Amino acid sequence: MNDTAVFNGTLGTIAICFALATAAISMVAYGLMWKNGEERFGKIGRVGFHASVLGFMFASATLMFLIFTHQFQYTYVWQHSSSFLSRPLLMASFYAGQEGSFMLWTLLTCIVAVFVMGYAQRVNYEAPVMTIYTLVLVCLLMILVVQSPFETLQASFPGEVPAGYIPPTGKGMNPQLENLWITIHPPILFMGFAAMSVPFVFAIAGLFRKDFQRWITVSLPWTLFASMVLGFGIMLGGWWAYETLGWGGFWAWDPVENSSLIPWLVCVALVHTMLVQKRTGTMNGPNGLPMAGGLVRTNFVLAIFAYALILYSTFLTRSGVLGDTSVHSFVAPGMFVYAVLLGIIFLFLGIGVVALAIRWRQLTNIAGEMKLMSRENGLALGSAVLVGCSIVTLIGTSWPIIRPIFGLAKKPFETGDFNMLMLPFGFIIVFLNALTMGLKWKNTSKESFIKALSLSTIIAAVGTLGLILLGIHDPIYIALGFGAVLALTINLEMGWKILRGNKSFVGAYVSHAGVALMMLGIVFTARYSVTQHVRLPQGETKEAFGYKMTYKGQEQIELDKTDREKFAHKIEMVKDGSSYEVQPIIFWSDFNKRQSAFLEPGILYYPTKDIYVSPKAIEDDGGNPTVAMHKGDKIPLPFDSSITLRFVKFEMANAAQDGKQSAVVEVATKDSTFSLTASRILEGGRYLPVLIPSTDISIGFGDLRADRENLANSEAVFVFSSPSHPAPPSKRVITVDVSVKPFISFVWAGVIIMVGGFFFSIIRRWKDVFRVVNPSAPSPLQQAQTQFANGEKISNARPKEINAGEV
Amino acid sequence: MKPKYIIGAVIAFAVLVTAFIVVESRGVEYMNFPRASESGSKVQVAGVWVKEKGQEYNAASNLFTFTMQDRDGNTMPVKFEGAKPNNFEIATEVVCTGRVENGEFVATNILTKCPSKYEATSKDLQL
Repeated sequence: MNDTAVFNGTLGTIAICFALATAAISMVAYGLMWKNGEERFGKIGRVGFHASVLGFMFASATLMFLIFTHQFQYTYVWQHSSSFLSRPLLMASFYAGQEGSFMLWTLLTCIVAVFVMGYAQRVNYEAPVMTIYTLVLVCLLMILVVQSPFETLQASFPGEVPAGYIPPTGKGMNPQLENLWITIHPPILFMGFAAMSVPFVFAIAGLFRKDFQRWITVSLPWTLFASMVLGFGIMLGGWWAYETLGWGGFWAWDPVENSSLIPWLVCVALVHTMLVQKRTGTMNGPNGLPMAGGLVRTNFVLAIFAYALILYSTFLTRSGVLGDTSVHSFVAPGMFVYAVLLGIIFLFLGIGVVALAIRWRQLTNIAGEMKLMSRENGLALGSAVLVGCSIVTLIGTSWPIIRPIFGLAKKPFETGDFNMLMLPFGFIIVFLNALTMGLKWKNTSKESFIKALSLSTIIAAVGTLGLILLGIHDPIYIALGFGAVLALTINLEMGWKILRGNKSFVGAYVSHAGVALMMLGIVFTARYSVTQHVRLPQGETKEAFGYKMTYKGQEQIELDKTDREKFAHKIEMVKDGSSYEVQPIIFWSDFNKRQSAFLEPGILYYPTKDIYVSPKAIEDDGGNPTVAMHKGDKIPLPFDSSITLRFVKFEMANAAQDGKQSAVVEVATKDSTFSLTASRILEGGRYLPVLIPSTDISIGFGDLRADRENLANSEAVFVFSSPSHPAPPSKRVITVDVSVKPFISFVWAGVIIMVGGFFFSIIRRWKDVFRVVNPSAPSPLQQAQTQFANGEKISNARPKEINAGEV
Repeated sequence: MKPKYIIGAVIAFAVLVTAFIVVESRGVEYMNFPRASESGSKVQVAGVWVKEKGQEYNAASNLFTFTMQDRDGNTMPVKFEGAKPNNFEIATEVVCTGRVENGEFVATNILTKCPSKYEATSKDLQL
């Protein structure tokens, strides 16, 4: 099949090797250009780099082609896709597995690299930045050479697979993942991972070139971009878990989630410390040279560790070290990949730490001591708290690895532990968020601080009263609520003032208002969610949280897909005369051989709360008892447990001739053991009950649950009846957990607003960069001052709003 | 090094250590059933579901019961207030958190570990 096509696995492998080789050549050439300043090396570097990117794009296109043309002779394609998948899902199976996710990461790193190269040329940073960036590419490509997605089945299972064998279809994708989210969440997350390499690369280049100030301005938009994209990706994951996977919440402190949160927190901290240095340093010092501002060392440390933590997260989630303690299964990819991953972490951390150590004594700044009541101090404290959160999450997530080092038993952190440890951080974050907004750069007088905060404090006090009326009682949560409302109102107040002045300064206020809103949502959802267990027989009405719930019945959906049976269960919910319907979903899939159901929640969304209906079980109540059995299973006989029943085998040999399927069972009573054969007629699915001698119990072969992949593993469903135990009429019963989740919409809205704020800040900082490149352009600060000076009576002092806007 | 950094570092360290001591005292250790019975406190036991002994979810009482064999081969009935966890039947391993009460393991949480797709072997090929 398609052996002659341009895209095949051999060429794919060659393309990866080609990309690796050219990236390595480019790295060496750029390194020489950096050392000697000779342009001819730059040419080689650029050609090599472009060749590498093109080579890797060819390899990615090849994998995509193999997936879309269903070439199941390739192990990766066979394992992660199937001929049942729709186009968007086939696209997603590109990165559904280990090898593919490294492909995606590398591909996005390549794409970012193309932009970084052009950017580095414009800001006069090409040689050092590209030397280090190509090293990043070389490392990622090395992983792919070891873990190639182009391995054939023959190579994966040597000696077991005959030459030329192509499986009829692939194993497919976990059906829980088959939805819109898998097509957008992973690419966005990996985009964030790829973007995080930019501040790292500029930091290393800055250390080598003894540029301790300018790199901040140059890499700030990228740090903001990485924070925005990674933050958005993390939230999408939370939304996915909540909306489809039915985790019940948006955050479960699972290692997979934590591993993106840890570097993100450091990245956001880095944004704040970069702002401090940018603001307190100068590009035009006494002798015309840039002078570093405050936190110059902190910025290098954070930029290096943020990327090291990205790599460490990858290690945590890909190496199998957490296999024991997470709901996710991580499988060890083999010692070599494990070693390569660790090697890369130590390589980049090593480069960073050594460069930092060499320059440490030269890393001085002109900022002087920070005043307690200064905005830079507020920002520095905020960063410290974010780094603290990150460290706690890091230690908590790594706890199952750390304890054994000291010879102790493995013990994971539980969700409750994380929540407890994070609560104090939440406090500090909301109050710092609020109070720092009242601080000015350098120093703030008490009067102006009080004045800045007074209006918001009054509004927040009223808002807090509202929260108490809504039913929030614990003092801790009232205080947290007050902090969050205060942060929200002061950001809105200042953001509003800024909007009337210089709009480009508004980003920080928007994102901090988003954070405040998100914190409000997190705290109240986490603390005040309530759950009730409800069992709903069809047609009967039960009440939960004031809703009259009636199970109306099921409807099969996605009928076109033969690999699954999917049912939407319609539950009517009536409250105050209004009627709503939720449809939790229960389905069975070939993916797990239909052995257990997949569950998706049904949700009613309101601005102030969600009603979350999570399905737990569906069963038939009443009717004759049925039991599903695998070959060899043994059960006590219903109605008479002194007799045991063993399912021996199916008898299908004559099914084609007489239209009957049979199942042989062995019955063991106290004094004898004998075999019986129960049959069902294929047409109409009727079964012929067989009486068990010396009892009044009949056994019928009611149904066959075929396992297509392994027929021997199919189940027989037996129906038992006994005249002395008349069966009640059968009724479908769905069991659900109904939860009320207050203010959860604030979490999503808060994150989206925060992401929007990042976006505005990126625009502003992007313009800053090109003022560094082209210093003659006026800064928005100067423009704003001019505007104020011309338009208003203020002539002397810098307007307060503008000062505040300089965050 | 300015004194304020040292003070800051000491405070941060103290807070972290205190926090982790608290977690450690709350946290639950992995152990087997006999040791769990002895300790009587909240622990984690990893093992497998004993299929022959069956499993049952009673939707009316919201109780899920099954028999589990720990990693050292000891078995014990497990009772869990809640529905049958997702993928229970195909789980390669079950991790229960809870305590032993009257010879029965009362679980507050059950983690099911599912066979990952990465583990596909040539057996899955149906040659």
